[in-house]
Amino acid sequence: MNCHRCKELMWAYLSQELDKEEAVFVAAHLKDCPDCQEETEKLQELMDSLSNLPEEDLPEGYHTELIHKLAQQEKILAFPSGKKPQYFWKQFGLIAAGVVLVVAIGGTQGILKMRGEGNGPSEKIFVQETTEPEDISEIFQSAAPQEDALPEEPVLEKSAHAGVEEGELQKDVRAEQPKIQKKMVSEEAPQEEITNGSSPQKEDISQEQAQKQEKVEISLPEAPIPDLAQAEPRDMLFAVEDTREALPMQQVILTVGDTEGVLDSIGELAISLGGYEEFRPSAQSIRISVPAGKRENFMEGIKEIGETRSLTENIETMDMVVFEITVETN
Amino acid sequence: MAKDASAKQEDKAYIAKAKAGDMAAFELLVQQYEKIVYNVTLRMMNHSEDAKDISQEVWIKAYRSIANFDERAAFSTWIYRIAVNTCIDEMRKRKGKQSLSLDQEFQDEEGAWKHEVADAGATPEECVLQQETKNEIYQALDKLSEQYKTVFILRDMQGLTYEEIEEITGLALGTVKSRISRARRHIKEEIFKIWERNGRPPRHTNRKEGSNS
Repeated sequence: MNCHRCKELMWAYLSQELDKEEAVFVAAHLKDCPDCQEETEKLQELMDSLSNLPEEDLPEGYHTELIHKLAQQEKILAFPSGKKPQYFWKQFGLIAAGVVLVVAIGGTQGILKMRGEGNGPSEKIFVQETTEPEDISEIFQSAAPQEDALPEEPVLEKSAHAGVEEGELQKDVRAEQPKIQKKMVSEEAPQEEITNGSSPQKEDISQEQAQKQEKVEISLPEAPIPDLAQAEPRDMLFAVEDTREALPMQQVILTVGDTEGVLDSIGELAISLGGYEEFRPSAQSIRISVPAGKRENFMEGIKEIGETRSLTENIETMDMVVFEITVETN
Repeated sequence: MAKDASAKQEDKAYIAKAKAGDMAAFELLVQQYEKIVYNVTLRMMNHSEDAKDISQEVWIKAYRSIANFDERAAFSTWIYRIAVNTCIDEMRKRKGKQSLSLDQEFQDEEGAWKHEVADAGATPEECVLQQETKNEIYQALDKLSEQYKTVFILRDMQGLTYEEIEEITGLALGTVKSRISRARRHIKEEIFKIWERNGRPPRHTNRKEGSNS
């Protein structure tokens, strides 16, 4: 009987989890019981194995891959209405001296036209409202610590929840982007000027479209473009966005032989310099942030990818240096 | 998981920034905890490729919900909770589909375990010993149901306190204790059985000679 109880308590005893009375009991029993002593030794061995089990290193490239995935999320969640209205502004303020780079491949005409326009392109870029994922709060509910004591199987319940969320989450991730595009093209068409900055861009925007968009910083989707003359451009912009500061971006055109993999290279370059990929407004464009101290290194890296032309001089607003860069094929 | 006060303060600063949408601050949190998250996921899933995908999914979930994170709670507890729940969920999803193939595929007639466990990059001797130990532990762990496995990993492999586990799992302290106790009994029996079967006494001598790090 004593042996049985001793064995029951042994692990907790060796982990020093027992109260005084139990500990005294085990210690006293062990003195007199060789059987239990032997088992204690074995158990200590086992416990040592467990605690000596080395922590595994992260797989090669893990962090970079993860940050890339998070950047993809950011693309979707960057502007959830109401939740994080000041998202980018705060972010940039905190990064202090970040370099923002937008690379758009193709459709450079529109960007060239923008040059010299008083209103920096970028203030519009951040105005886009995306559809808000509904599952955020659900995730939180399941993930957040709960203060109430839960019944016997709360883990089970929660993870059943999680199962649903997870499925939804994955779906959302994929479904979100098309939704955004669609929304911008259809519903927000009259606010073209406001939303287009972060609109997905199509590679093959025609010259004509580019001309139409000359008041627009970055090319629009090919989808039907409403008459921009009817849009309430600047007034509307500031009416909507009057609480936000403008974030000018420096525009640079990058000419490359082949656009294949260029965005990835730019993202990796940014990451290697301590920056990160903000998101990709479309399959052909990328926005990244690089610490200001690495601005020159970044530009050098970009120059190795292709030929660069600056559309605007280095703009320094407060602590930030901002770029807007366009890439074209030669 | 036990962090000193200044580290916790630091966490709080990053969290506040991350909640405001600062990606760089979020990345600092990732940097601090990604290895822990990866390791607990690896221990839960016993498969390095799965652990990579699932642990990254954990971070995506965290990123999506950080704005709602209750700062009164510890970030470590929160991220552990997401990790554990994501793993449990994944295990349950697979259970129905793969339970047969798991046993057949990974265990040969002698009971040698063939699960993939990442190489820790140790010397050859250490490697053999560690691999052996890991195999034994994972073999025993694999027979535990998720809820026992979870609390055991958190307590006896990750070294968390009962209170932390209580918070992570949302279970009552008494339940945490009884589950850990049962899980330990099971693990002990399983591993002792393996040692007996392999004709291998406890390896204190082995380990002392073998490990020189």
